[in-house]
Amino acid sequence: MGQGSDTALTIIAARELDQPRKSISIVTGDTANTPDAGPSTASRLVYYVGNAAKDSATQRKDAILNTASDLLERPADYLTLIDGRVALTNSSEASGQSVTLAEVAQARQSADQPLRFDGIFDPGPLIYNEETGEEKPYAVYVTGTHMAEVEVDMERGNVRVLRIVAAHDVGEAIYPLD
Amino acid sequence: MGVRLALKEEYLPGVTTGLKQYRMPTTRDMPEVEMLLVETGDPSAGLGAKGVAECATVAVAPAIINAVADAAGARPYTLPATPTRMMEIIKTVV
Repeated sequence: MGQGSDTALTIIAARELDQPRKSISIVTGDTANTPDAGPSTASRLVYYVGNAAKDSATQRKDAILNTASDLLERPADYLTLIDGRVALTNSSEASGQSVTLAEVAQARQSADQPLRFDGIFDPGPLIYNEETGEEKPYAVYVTGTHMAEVEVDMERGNVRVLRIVAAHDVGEAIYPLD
Repeated sequence: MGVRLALKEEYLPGVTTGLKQYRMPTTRDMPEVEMLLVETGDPSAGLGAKGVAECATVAVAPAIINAVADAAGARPYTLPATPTRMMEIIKTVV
């Protein structure tokens, strides 16, 4: 709670499925519906759960495109996910030819195909050799540099922080600042 | 979190009985933080992203104390660098 993880995970799924953020609803911390993915601590959530969310969304995207391919009688490669629909990539060729995601879901349901996809992410074994300090104790490493400007009151000993500049290697920013 | 470690919060068993002794920084103690996102795309997983939640707090105190050492001409070695501790080290250089 409070880390912005719901927003980050929603953005990851929305990006992968080419859908607007508002069409993704996220459920967290519901033991009836969600698997235990470990705590949102140690800066691990975006990396672990984010990659699992991406994996789940990728499986879902493939399933949607395959079902839409059957419905539209076009190869899946020629299809694109857009807001709420699957359409032909080159829509000028046969404009208007598309199916809604609801139609795709209905078709899958009546064909007894899954609508739920469990994403999995495992970074591999994490080992640390205490004697040599070698091996790989963590899945991922981040680097950062901070610069501070301070004012010291030489008569009273008070320190005032005037400015902090924080630069961090985030890999790739999930949440757009602009 | 980094500012509190560098300058403010200290728990002394038997002495710290509440928030009156345990001084936390407030908005008045905080400057604007200029944030620079360096995007390099982490190749270890498909997403390319990684977390920086706790990592962002690690470098704050060292950066502040390095700046304090530069400004005062003496370096505090015990944190937090409270006014009392600062006066002790300032005495050695003034």
